[in-house]
Amino acid sequence: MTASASRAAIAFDRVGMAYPGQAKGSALILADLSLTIPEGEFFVLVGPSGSGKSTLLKLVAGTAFPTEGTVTALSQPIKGPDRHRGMVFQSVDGPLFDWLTVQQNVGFGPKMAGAGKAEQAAIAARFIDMVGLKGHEKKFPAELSGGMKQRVQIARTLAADPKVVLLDEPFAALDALTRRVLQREIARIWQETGRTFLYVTHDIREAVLLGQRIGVMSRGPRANIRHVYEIDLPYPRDDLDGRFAEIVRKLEGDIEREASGQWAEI
Amino acid sequence: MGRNLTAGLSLASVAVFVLIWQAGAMWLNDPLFLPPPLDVVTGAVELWRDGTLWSSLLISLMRIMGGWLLGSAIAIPLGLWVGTSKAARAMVDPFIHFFRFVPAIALVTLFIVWFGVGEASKILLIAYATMFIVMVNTASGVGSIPQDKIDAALCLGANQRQAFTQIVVPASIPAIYVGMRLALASSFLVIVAAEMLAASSGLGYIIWTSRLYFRIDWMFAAIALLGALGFVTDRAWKAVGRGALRRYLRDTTKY
Repeated sequence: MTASASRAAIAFDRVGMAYPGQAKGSALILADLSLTIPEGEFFVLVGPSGSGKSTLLKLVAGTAFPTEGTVTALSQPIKGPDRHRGMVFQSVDGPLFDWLTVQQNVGFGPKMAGAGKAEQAAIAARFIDMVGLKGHEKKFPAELSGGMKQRVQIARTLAADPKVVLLDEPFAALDALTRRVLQREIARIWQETGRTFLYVTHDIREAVLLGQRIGVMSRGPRANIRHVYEIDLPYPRDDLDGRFAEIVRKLEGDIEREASGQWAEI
Repeated sequence: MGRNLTAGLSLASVAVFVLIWQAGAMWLNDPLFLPPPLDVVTGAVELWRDGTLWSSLLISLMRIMGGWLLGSAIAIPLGLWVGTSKAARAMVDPFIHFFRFVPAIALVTLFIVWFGVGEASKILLIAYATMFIVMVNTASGVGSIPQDKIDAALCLGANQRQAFTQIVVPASIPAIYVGMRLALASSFLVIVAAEMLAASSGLGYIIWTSRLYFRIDWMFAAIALLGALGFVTDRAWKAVGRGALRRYLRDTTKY
């Protein structure tokens, strides 16, 4: 591992988070959460719904701020959203800019960074190709299927050249077949770009299919990450493989115990 | 359904209506109560020949367009501001939700006292009627923009100002468009009231003055023309939606 690869892309240090408007310390969604994600890693966060996974992503995106502790990106405190931390949202329709073509959506980040028309188009073309949407450049989001829309979101996020890519259950709203295809592609895209990926899901199979490391969130309130698993399987992963099934089974057991509260006594 | 078929159906339905009207008028045989369509056409031709109808049409259209555009020009920025800023909303809301319920027609006399019997009072009255509809629509349009859309722009490197100009404004266009379409209809309501009270021209003036000459056919001619004018302006606005604003609207222009 090179020196730069071991730098922390994201670091949570004893983070606590309360719903806005509530007193410090009371009703924390997240409490005393510490986690370090090195540069270039594919980290997956799994946990029961309502455990605060999405809140954690918002803290990294800079659209929410911790009540306690600090969140840093490359040792810099996060002051608000910027182009260094891109976000792929679960919502299929909400995040896309409906009045812009696929090409203009993907070129939005470069445009904000001051790139000229030709440069915007060139960058957009590269990432449209990467997500397999070549030939659909001039289409509007309304003309695309759900899976294609998520491809646009991924291309758009990458085109802004972020250091960290945050993915909030990006395929949860898609049909099972499309989801399977995109899960394989996102692993390939991560390898091609070499960026840090922080991926949130409640699907354990998806977590094992994608993550180098998997963090399991405990059930909220006062949610926390007590268990981090290293998944030592080569990419592309095969979910019919015996080792794969073994890991999924173990994780499922652990999460069930987590959900039933048995770990709370440890 | 094919384009020709729908057009044919519309035409047939209008023809049947005119026939029923003709039959009803013949049966009643009281042109002061219900003049037959042919009398109305004759009356309209009469008004057309001396130029009254054409000049009235133009002057009413000018007042409607002037007031509608002026009202929208004030209401759109205001609505965007109120939609994005909680402070602005707190300041403007009480006035909006008070005046929204004061119909323009109630203010006709007051506007004449304030702005005279000339064009200003009529245009301002229509602007007043337009403003609230467009503003409330715009503000609620801003409010219904998914937060993900704005967050996405910010995470792609947009600053607050860019998020406003590049996302909030274009994403509000459907709501603004619909608001302006509704306001256009209410402009017609107001213009007739304004022209009845203080005008020496306009379609509302013809409708009001015809009664002095017992010319119910003139009145019918002006009413029919008013409706036709509304129909045409609405179609024109729809054409704008399907043309220049197409990429922003998509599903909004279906009806």
